[in-house]
Amino acid sequence: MAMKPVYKIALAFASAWAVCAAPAAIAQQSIPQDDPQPARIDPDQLQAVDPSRFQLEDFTRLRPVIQDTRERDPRLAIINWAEAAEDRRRDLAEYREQLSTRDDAAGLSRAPAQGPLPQLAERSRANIRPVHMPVLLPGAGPQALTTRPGGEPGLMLMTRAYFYDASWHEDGVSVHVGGSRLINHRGNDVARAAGLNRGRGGDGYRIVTNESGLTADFSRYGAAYTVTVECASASDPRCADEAYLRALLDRLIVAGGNPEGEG
Amino acid sequence: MSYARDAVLAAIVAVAGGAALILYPAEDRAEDPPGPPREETPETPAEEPEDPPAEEPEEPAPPPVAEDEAGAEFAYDPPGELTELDFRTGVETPGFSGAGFDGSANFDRTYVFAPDIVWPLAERGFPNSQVYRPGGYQSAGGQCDVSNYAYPWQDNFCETRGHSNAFCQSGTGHQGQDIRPASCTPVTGGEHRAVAVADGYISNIGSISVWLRDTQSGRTYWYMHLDHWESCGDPATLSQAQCNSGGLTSICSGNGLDVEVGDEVSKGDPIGVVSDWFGIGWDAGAGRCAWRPTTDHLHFEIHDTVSPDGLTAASMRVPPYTSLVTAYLDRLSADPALYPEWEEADY
Repeated sequence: MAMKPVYKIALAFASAWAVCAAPAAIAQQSIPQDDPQPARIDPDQLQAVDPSRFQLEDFTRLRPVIQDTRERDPRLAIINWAEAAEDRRRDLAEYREQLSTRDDAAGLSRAPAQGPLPQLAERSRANIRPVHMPVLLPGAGPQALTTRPGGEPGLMLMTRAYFYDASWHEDGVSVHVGGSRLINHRGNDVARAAGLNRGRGGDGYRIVTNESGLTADFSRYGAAYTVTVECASASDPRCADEAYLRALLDRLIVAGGNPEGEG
Repeated sequence: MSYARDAVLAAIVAVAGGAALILYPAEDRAEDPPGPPREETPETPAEEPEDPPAEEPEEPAPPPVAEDEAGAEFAYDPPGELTELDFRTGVETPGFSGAGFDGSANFDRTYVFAPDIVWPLAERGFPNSQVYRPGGYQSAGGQCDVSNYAYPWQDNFCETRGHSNAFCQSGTGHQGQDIRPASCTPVTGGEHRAVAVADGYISNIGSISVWLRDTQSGRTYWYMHLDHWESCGDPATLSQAQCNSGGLTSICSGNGLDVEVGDEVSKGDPIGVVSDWFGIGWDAGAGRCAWRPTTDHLHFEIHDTVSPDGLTAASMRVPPYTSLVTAYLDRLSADPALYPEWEEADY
């Protein structure tokens, strides 16, 4: 049966709304700007976390990333959640492998000395869950951590919907790991990206000395990350060469992140 | 002649004179003022009416100025122009302190990366070089030289350093903007506070720097050389091993800052006191651990996210000078005409 013109018009309006307005509304509802309180995480508390209970459910709802930029917010980088989920599965598998090779009775409840420390991710789930990007954190050794030089025991984790910061101090070195999914400025075209990427190595890291230490910046899964070490002493070798910083980079794990509401 | 005839003639003359006075009054009875006789002006024929004479051109209104709290007129050198004056010789040489950010294919040198920040000090201040001006190791004189605490401002992002910087022409250079506070406290005493340039939280307190995460834009600002400790002992008591690792926390105590990690702050909230703090270091020549103070200043950096391809985010230090000029004009409630026509980032 042929439709009357008035129904055609109404249907056209409805279709247009479905295409344009509905995704925007869904996006606004599904990516809230949560403001969790900063968490101070005492390393001693982490030992009580049972590593056999690490969860992957944050990533079970993943679907293939749709590289369609027409409806996305241009201020948000596109996240490759599938790649992040695969990295997380690999990290946890390696960690469990390390645990299985330990033969002491406490092995199942204590982190390997230099291995990744997923207990941190587990302990800070409430802070990580609102973050709509993969949260990278380094596995930390069982050293005494403080929130800053001379500060309280533990490390600080501060999160928002599109960025996060983790920072701590360890034996004269201040460490910060952070990430952001926001795109505040963009190059005019890809051909001109070379200038913005000046100094970046083949491994994707741009390691930069500064007045008090070293910073590595890199893009992963589409988001921007930085790892910075700062030393109280100008003669501290950990800020004089890249070895210490690269060891931190090698120990980064996907601690979590929330792909909810994204295709 | 008879007396009667004379009386009649006299009466006629009197009446005629009176009538003449009534019928032909004098047009101007006012007496001439004392002094020289007035100059007769020759009569001129009536002229055609002329256009009114042109008025004297009005003096143009003085250009508006922005004055700080000390009554000094704010002035600044253009972004990307570094100091060229060698204070040791008095000679200006292009490139003396390096080559500033001169714009790129992606961003003009006047691009304002952070147009919404406020001025990072509680009082007025003077962005300029700490190395190439008096008191610096590439200059002469002392840091309290009056010329260091005066306008115009000077950009020193990209000033010669060995640190990598993608915005600099050479690929290396100073990664922030150095700012002297309102006065040189080693001479004047007192203290000058750094304040939050945006609403956000303190995301990191390192040994030298304090970081503020802007919760609106996601940018991070570095404040370096604030006074981190309430009190410190003598670093010479530290062994070389202690000096090169965590020894500082054994001789210093108490948080000298106004903030702790994780604190939420609003624009203008105090962060800490501007100082010469730069930690410690092993002095191989003297064989002991020593302070390594810098000049009294705030080193301020803006870390922002830039996308080379429009899809992927990357973190970078960006030029702060234009954002600081804009913030300072805001602080001085400057006339809109004083704002340069710079492209501002749209958030």
